[in-house]
Amino acid sequence: MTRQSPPRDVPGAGSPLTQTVVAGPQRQALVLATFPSALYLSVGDHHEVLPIVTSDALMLPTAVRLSVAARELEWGVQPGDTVAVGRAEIRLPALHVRVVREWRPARVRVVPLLPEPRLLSELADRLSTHLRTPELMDQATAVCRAARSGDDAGVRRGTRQLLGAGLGLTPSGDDVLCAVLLVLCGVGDPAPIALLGAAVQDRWSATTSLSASLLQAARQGYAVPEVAALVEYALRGDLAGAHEALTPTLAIGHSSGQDLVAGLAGSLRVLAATNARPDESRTLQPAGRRNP
Amino acid sequence: MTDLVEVRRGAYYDSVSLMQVSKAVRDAPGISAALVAMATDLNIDLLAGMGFTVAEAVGPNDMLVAFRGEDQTAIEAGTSALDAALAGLKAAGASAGGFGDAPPPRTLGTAAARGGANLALISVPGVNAFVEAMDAVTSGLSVVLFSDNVSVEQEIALKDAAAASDVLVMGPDCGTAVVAGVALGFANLVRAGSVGLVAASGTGAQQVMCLLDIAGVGMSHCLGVGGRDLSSAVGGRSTRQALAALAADPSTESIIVVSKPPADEVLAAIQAYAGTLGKPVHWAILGAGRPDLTAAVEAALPTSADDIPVWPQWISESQIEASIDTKAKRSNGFLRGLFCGGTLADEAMIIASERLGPIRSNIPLSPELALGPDLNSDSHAVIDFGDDRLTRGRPHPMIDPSLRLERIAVEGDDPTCAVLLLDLVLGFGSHPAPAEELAAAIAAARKAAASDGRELPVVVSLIGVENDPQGLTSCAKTLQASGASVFVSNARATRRALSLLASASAANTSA
Repeated sequence: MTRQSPPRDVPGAGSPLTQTVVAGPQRQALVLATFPSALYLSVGDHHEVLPIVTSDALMLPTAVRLSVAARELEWGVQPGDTVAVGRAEIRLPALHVRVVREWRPARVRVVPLLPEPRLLSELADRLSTHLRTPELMDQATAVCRAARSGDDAGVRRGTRQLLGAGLGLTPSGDDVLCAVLLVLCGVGDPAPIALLGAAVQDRWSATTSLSASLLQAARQGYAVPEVAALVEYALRGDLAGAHEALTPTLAIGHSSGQDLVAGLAGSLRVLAATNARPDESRTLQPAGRRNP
Repeated sequence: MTDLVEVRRGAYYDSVSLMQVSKAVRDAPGISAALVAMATDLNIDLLAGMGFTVAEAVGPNDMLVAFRGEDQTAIEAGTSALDAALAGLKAAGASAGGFGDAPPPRTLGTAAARGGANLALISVPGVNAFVEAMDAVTSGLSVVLFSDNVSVEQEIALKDAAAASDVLVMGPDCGTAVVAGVALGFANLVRAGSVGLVAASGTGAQQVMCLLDIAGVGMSHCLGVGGRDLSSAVGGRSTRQALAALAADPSTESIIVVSKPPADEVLAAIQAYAGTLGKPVHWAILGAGRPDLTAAVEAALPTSADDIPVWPQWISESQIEASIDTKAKRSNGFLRGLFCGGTLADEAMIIASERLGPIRSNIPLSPELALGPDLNSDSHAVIDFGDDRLTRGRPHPMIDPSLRLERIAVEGDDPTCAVLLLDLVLGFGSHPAPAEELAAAIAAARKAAASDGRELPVVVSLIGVENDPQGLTSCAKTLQASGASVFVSNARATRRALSLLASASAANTSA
């Protein structure tokens, strides 16, 4: 008879976006997928996913982040297994994650005054040179324009075309929608966010759970730090900052970074066209930027 | 036509990976359509548009596999292609593309910790080399530091850290190492055996390993230590580490230490240390009054003096005729040595200066003999084209011989050049076909001299073994055909060149 070794205790930091789940009463969670640096748990409805990530993983805004790197860890579970989540703990057979503190995910803040249209247009052009599929940028433009103009039918049509469009884990269309939502959050007008957010929410089940959870976070302006920084630099008209944040964004996933940039570029085109209010516009200089 | 539609749960991949998988399946023999995708609504629509029917209940977190083959054999081929492509993704860590796969290592230390390597080969600009090497050493790796322009202070700090971690720093400026049969940098494909080398000299180590191979003796490892290791400042720090490593290595039965002229006190201390190791240690140390490298190898061979091999040589026809004709006039003028190997150049100067007196050089035996920046000389001269000042912004002459080839042409036109002494180093890292270009340059120089009424003897020391990619004998014959005499021993080649000089002959007679 062999004795099983006790589970390893690993401290973690929780996200305020999933604090209710993590700190709430214990519940059963279904393992959706395991990777060296991430464990994805389904913790409720289709869009409710709790990522547990290692210290060297992409900083997904909803994740519980561990203090150890991927190479130092074995999850010891498979997709389809159930684990316990709640009371500030994630209990796996070989691992006890104790959520001992909270971390603050990156969030796109409202930029009170947008730069002049010419600058936004130039940024959109520059970003578009990095795209392999410019059609995604056009689709982003269409859905962003519809949201800004209160065109519910146009928003729902665009959402239907984009949500779940693409083969993989976070389909390309979802990444585009994420970027549009983040731009709208940065502009700060609640009506378009509500319109697009509702259209996306009504179709959660059309895409993967992880992607739906990231869209939910984007609806509140939350994203991985690289993307939040890029959106905010772009909305401030900070060319140098945007250039700096572009490379790490393009490096996300194999295509996700590019698709996010397509959504950003398409949205900037809309802002350039609808923000043409010369009396209120101003030109922001690249100098003096601050970290988003 | 046969369709296969199946659901794979818990399989998460990014879009690009699934496109690659779809293409791999589509390329399988007999497959006419294929799609591998997450089962989102749009992808199910896409499948329906392709004529597939998804029979069972699926959700967007499931992965759908669908392909169409002309018969069951095609479906089996498609399934094999699918499994192979997915396995390939897993092996490459490509799953999820950033949403869960381990991020690629960003530092040498991280790569080491993840990969389980025990040796790092570092070849970055010198200004960055220290940081990388220290990262490797503190991560428990031995280091081959190919980079040059590392300061002595940094070299000492690295080697002290290595000693503390019980690893070895080979370098800086270590161009040659062979560890357990793996050639790192410039090295020859010599046979495996029981002699270990510790080398503070790149081409010197290659000369020794090649002579051992030609003598039928194999090598266990060649651990480079960097050309400055036996200087007063560095104090033989890596030589000690390397000696200790070879002493502990069961495949090594005896050791040869190869070095350019060292600091006397350092050599004495290292020799005292070597005496404590319990394995025979032989010394191939260049310097006035010391045996040349060939003699040192002969002394280290595990045979009696009578069994010392006849080192191969290929004498040119013109030099055979000259040697038969005892009245043949020796060449008036000066020795010109044009080398790629610094240690070979050093050895040639040490041997030649015993007969010729002072020899000018860009790596002179004493500072007052330094050549000017134009490298011109109206006396005996030896130039090392591998010297750092001549390789700045260009490859080493063992890779790109163009500078030396130009100089050979210049010497062919120079009536004061009496004998041309060259080296050619074969093996990994060197030019893949160096003999042809060198032979053409030799023939052209001899022709230019002949048109001026002069005979220009050329002698080449050819450092290599038969198994080298370039082939020893074929290179030797190519050079011989151009009018050069070829020796596998640099010392023999140098003495041959001296024998062709009237001034050397006179000096020898008067000595």
